[in-house]
Amino acid sequence: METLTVPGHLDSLSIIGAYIMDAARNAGLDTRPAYRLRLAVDEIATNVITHGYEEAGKEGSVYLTASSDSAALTIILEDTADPYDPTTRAQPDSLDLPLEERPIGGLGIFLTIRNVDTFAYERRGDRNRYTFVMNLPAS
Amino acid sequence: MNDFKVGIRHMDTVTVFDLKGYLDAHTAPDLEQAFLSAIDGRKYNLVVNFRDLAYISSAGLGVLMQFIEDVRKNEGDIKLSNMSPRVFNVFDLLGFPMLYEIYAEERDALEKFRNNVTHPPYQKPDTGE
Repeated sequence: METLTVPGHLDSLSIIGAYIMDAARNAGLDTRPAYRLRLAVDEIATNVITHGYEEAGKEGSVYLTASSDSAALTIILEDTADPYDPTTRAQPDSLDLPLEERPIGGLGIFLTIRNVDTFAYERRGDRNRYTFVMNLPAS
Repeated sequence: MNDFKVGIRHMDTVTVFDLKGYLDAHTAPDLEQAFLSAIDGRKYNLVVNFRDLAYISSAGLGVLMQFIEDVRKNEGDIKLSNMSPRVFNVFDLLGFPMLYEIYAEERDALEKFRNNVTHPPYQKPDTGE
């Protein structure tokens, strides 16, 4: 699918969600895994917009590209915020913490990793690149 | 644009929030406002009905976490009801069923408040202090 470019603001989340659901439909992904993929991308996009852009006082865009073959649907999300690798912080240890001490941001990343088949991070030039893969059922 | 709406109903001593649409980091402040207005009015017996909620991300769960301590300190509770399986799955992955009472039907949550039952799962373990 054509790359979607949206401003790094929280009101872009609904457009991002719609793009993911379209991509899932086009790839033949069932509703349930489509919803899980949407959640995974939403959580990372929220982190990028909130921490990478807004709290850092930066303006930037979020870039999404969907591609699929017979085996999998892959979503790539990119941003131009400072380098940030969530895979180093995705410890579900906080589930053992008392309610009031749980960091909610960490829970979002945990949801991302649990809901997709593969999640990866890399820094490419001035961009963070997050890759989400959902395997497709064998037809 | 995805819409999110919070309806507020007063059922006896209980305030019920009816959530509708998409609850994400963009719309979570609307839910936060609804909780604030209830708590400002000293309403601490709260039920959140998820029947018409299509989507929730961790930002929505964050709002529930933000208010639960305050509500329980005031001898109230936030009980949850009518979740679809996909919404429940998000709560389940994050261990929320240990921390919140989740009911299939709103009337069961209301009944719990009526009977004023105390809820052992919510008490912190006795550390012997």
